[in-house]
Amino acid sequence: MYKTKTIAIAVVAIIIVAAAAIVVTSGSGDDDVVIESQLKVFGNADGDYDVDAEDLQIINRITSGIYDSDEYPMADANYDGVVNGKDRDVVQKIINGEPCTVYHYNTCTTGDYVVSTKWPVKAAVSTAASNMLWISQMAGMSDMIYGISYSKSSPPDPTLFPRFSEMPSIGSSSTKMPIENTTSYIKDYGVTAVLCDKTASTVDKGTVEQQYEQMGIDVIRVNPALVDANEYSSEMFLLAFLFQTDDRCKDVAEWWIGLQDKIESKLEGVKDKKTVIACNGVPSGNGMWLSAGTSDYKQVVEKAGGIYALGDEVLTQYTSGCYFNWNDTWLYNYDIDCIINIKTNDWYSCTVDEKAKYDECLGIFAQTQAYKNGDAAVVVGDAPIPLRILYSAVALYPDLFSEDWADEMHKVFFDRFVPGNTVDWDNAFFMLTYDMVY
Amino acid sequence: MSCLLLTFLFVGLYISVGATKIPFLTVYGFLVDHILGVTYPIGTDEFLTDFVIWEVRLPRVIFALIGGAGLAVGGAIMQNVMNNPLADPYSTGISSGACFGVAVAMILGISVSLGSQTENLGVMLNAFIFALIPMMIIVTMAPKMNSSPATLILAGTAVAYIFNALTTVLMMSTDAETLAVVYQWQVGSLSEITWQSLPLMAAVNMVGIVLAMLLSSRLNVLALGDDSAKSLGLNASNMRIVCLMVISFMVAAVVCYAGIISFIGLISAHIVRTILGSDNKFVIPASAAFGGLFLVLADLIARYLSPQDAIPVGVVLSFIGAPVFLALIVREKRGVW
Repeated sequence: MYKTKTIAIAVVAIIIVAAAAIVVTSGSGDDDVVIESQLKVFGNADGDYDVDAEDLQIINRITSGIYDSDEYPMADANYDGVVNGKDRDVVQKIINGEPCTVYHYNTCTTGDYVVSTKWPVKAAVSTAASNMLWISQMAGMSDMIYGISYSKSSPPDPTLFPRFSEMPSIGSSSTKMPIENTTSYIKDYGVTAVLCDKTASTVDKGTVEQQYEQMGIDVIRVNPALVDANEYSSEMFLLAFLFQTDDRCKDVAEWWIGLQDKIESKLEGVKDKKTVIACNGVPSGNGMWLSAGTSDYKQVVEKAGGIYALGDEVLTQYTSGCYFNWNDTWLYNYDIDCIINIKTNDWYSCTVDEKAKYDECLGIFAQTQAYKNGDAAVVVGDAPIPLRILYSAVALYPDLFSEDWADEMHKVFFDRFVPGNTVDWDNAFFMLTYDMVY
Repeated sequence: MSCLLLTFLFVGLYISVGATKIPFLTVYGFLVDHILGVTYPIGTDEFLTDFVIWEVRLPRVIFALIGGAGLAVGGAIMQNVMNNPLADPYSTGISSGACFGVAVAMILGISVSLGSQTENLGVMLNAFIFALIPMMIIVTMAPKMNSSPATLILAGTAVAYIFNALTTVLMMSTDAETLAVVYQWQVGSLSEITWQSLPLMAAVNMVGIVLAMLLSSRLNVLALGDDSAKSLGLNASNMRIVCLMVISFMVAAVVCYAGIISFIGLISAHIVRTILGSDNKFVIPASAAFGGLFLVLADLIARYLSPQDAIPVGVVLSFIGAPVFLALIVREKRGVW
């Protein structure tokens, strides 16, 4: 009898422990996520998201003639046109964490190009457009950025980026990084790299970048505005590799790819996708800027499951959108189910005047059917891209995606990847709909 | 000699001022060491100081000296050939025409190009071709506007407005990246000047200045009026066209790298004439010296006020030049003519 009781207690205890283990490990579901991002560093022979022993194995097989080097273009770790023992040495150094020179692609509007960077990078300065600060934060290397450049009219949000908001600007805008202003950071912090976005005129590729290279300072360009999780993660993995924050970056990538998978799986069941247009900001003298063409805001709402209502026919003057003014009527000819304004400013400081913001951002669309049906929303533009997609999905398909779930995911992201944030989650809200306001 | 000494001192002062303060005498030490071939290990304080002096500030101050000299000489010549004390490349719309030519090259990708190695030359030729348009308008209208110098300048201002509007139309149709670059040109800034910016600009302007000095005696004859010039064997119309074409080339060379630099020609030539009289044998070289130093001083002020290079030199020159321009219009002092 006593023995039976003991066994029963033991079995119950085992079941409880196993259940707890299942709950803990299945909380995020990240382990099921498949990362298809590619680390664009030479030496990453297998084309996955890191440089490891598998790459070394491939290089060994190439040097011994088993594999054809043409099938592994990224195996040439020292970018000298030949795959041999020198490439093996470079990859071995990377695996061992020993300083060396690595070769990688810089993403650029005029075409991606290969550069060398002294690895690992321990200190850098960066241009400080919001997307650049977010990618640095998400890649886990923002602590190694000692100086930033921004315009006085768009300083870093103190709630989102408290450390960056206290830094003075190196240049006069987020596209300039004057060399003589950077020299003090080079001297004081041992800065060896400049981070900037893919735009060729940012830290001008033809002039300023060449000068930095002459000084022995590497310029690293990434695209911080990509909307696809795997593509964005490729850029993130590059930064994480260069700054040795790979583990943290992998967590973020898994989280985002997992989120993207969840959104896509829920959208699979939607037979009639909604048509949508995206805009940002408030109307200016020319009217409201509507995204189209190459705009990444268009891609955000498409990723959220919308079919973009505006085609390339509206791109008469610009390549990424057009204006719609108060007196214009052309927009009414389009079949638009939903209008989403991805608006920046004030969300995280909890100082948003709901009605004023809604009217300001969407009042110009008052005559559209979408507005009249209550299918026009303002969503947070300050948040990182996955969260913009998430709230856009809520605006498009409120039956599938609840705002509460979006807020929960939002908080999870911040708790995991934005340590020390001071967001007042109880009072903050990150989207405005017609029903909320009126 | 005093001009050379002043230039030497100004260059040292210019290079010492900036986001990274470099002691005045240290500047010359580094310059001499660099010329003698002294090098420093990459990353050391000496290397960074040498780099800032030699690669960032020195090309900029040389550009300011030569470009300022060229614009000042352009102004002096223009005032002489147009017989108008208010004429300069900026006030007659030539700079705006050149800027439009740059915008056409940048935004539409249309430029006279002889190949990838001569891309800069192509942009400059664009600037020159479009600078000729306001020049031809001025040449055509000048004989019909003898009543007041201000009238011709108003015509030049109208031409400038037209080209500025055309540039704005082009800017409205382009992406944000190109827009920022073209806007920089409209304002006028030396912040993007590197050693690569110098050869073409320096060659064109120095040839133009030398040519102007060689033509100084003929310019004196031209100042006597078309009839007097004709009686002395000078074809005034041809001389006028040649001079304005030379000015257009010089202005185009500066605009295609630094954008519209305003009022240099107007102020320099006026001040020099006030001091030295109107003999072009002295006015031309003195304007060159004054204009170069003036642009250096203006950029020094801009860099001192904003170490982040937020204030372009064109803004500083407008603040200085506009009141002077207004005073000259009001006074229309023709005593030196």
